[in-house]
Amino acid sequence: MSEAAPLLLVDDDDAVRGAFRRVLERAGFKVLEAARGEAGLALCREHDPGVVLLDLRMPEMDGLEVLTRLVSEHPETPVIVVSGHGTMIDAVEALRRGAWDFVAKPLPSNEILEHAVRRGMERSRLLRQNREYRAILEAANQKLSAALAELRTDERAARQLQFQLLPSDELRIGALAFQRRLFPSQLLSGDFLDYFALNERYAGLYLADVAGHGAASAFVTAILTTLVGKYRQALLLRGDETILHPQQFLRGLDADLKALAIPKHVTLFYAVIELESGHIVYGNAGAFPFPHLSNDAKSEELECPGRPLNLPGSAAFGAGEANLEPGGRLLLASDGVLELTPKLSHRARREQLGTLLGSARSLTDISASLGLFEHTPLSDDVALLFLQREEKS
Amino acid sequence: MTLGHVTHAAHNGVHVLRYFGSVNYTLAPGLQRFLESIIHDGSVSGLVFDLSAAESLDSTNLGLMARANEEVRDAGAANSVIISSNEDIDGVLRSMGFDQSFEVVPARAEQDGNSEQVEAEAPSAAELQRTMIEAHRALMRLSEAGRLEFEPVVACLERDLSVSRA
Repeated sequence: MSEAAPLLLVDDDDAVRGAFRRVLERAGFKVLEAARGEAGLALCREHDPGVVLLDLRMPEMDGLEVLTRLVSEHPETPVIVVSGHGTMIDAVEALRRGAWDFVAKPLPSNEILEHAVRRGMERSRLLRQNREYRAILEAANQKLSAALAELRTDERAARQLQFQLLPSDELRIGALAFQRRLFPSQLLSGDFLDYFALNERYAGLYLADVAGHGAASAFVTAILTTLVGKYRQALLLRGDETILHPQQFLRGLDADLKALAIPKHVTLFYAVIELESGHIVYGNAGAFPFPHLSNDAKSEELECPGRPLNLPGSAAFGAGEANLEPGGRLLLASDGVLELTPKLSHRARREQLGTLLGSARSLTDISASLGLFEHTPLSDDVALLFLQREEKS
Repeated sequence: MTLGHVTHAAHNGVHVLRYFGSVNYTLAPGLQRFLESIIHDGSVSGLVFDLSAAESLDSTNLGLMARANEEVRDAGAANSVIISSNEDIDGVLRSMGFDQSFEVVPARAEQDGNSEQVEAEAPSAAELQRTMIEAHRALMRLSEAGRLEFEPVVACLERDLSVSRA
């Protein structure tokens, strides 16, 4: 409210109005006057005064009736009732009908009138300010809701895309049985995994995590599957063996992502498995926790630190080889597993993964032991990839 | 989990950033702008990331550190220093190969004044690292004596903005 609102005097007695006006103008108020109820209501509609001083006894329209209409038409405008026949019954009735205050006539002192008006003005100013703030907040809130709804739509689309690109829950390639689970968090993130036959001799698998959250990170996972698809095609169509060699493959992906100038890095563990022998060659671009391998119920962590894709640094990618014996298993988990509740130290959680892999029969067992079920609320996505080689028959 | 924040102070061109609590992606955009502003200023002779009071850092913030390190190295500074005392954070740093692009110094060794912990490839680089750790130690001493305040990075940004608007 930039300018102080006027005050409206409604009284049929010219002398009283004149006296009130002098007192109030001296106190700094801008004063409007009406001699009849109807005229007062009209002025009120036109000027939206801060306070109305209303005489209760007037010809034509009675003061109480004017009061009722004022209160219903302008609920935020305080009405101070003035009565020359100052009885308690008048006062009570006026207050019951919504008057803000009551002043007796003749005035015991000018200060009493001034004080009552000042308090009424302050109340009306606060009410108006409140309404203005509320309007501003509501407008801002509406804008935010609309933006949020749009983001949610984006996220849903991205999440859907992410899930559509996942491999089937259970896949068999030769003697290898692959399983996977993706437990999404509230916040869309960039966890992703895939497994596939590379040719008649080899299978490949990876687990990736795109830095950051939101639709952008999820879309980078989509770009990633396209890039990986390119290398798989190159092997089948042109005999380009890059994808059979984890180090070359990671260097290729790194260059591809850098060329796209996406400001997000990606951690990725990639392994190639020879179907006949179970021999594994792997490379790691900063994926953590490290995978666990279990042969004969003995688990080991395949420690393989290395630089993430699309991130500067002088470190090489992690590298290693291992053997998946008949009946052996491999477990990959995204870093969301380190945030699970109850919160454990990373070391304790990694040891738990190793122990679980040694004893569990299936990925369902492992998920349940980690407290992961379909609707478990999570602070970060958890992706799990489980591979088991058939026992020798 | 404590909501994270980051503070900053500088001494002879060595900029020290102290990370507190759980530093996640919500802090990253502000931190990125801040790092860009001090790096493009051209006055950075070294960066020290003091993570000894941090509970966790998410991948977005780790990426930010790696990129900032690359930029100051391109501009001729030595590898940035990371001071860390949290086993979980150490593990994550190692898994991403940060121990090879940064000088990762355990907080205890740093407090003992044992600069021998720093191993750098060239003598001049080792000297630079020692200077950085000494600058960090000097700032910490001043701060503990109440003679210097590490400023919240957000406040630095706001001040810079008001200066550039004026």
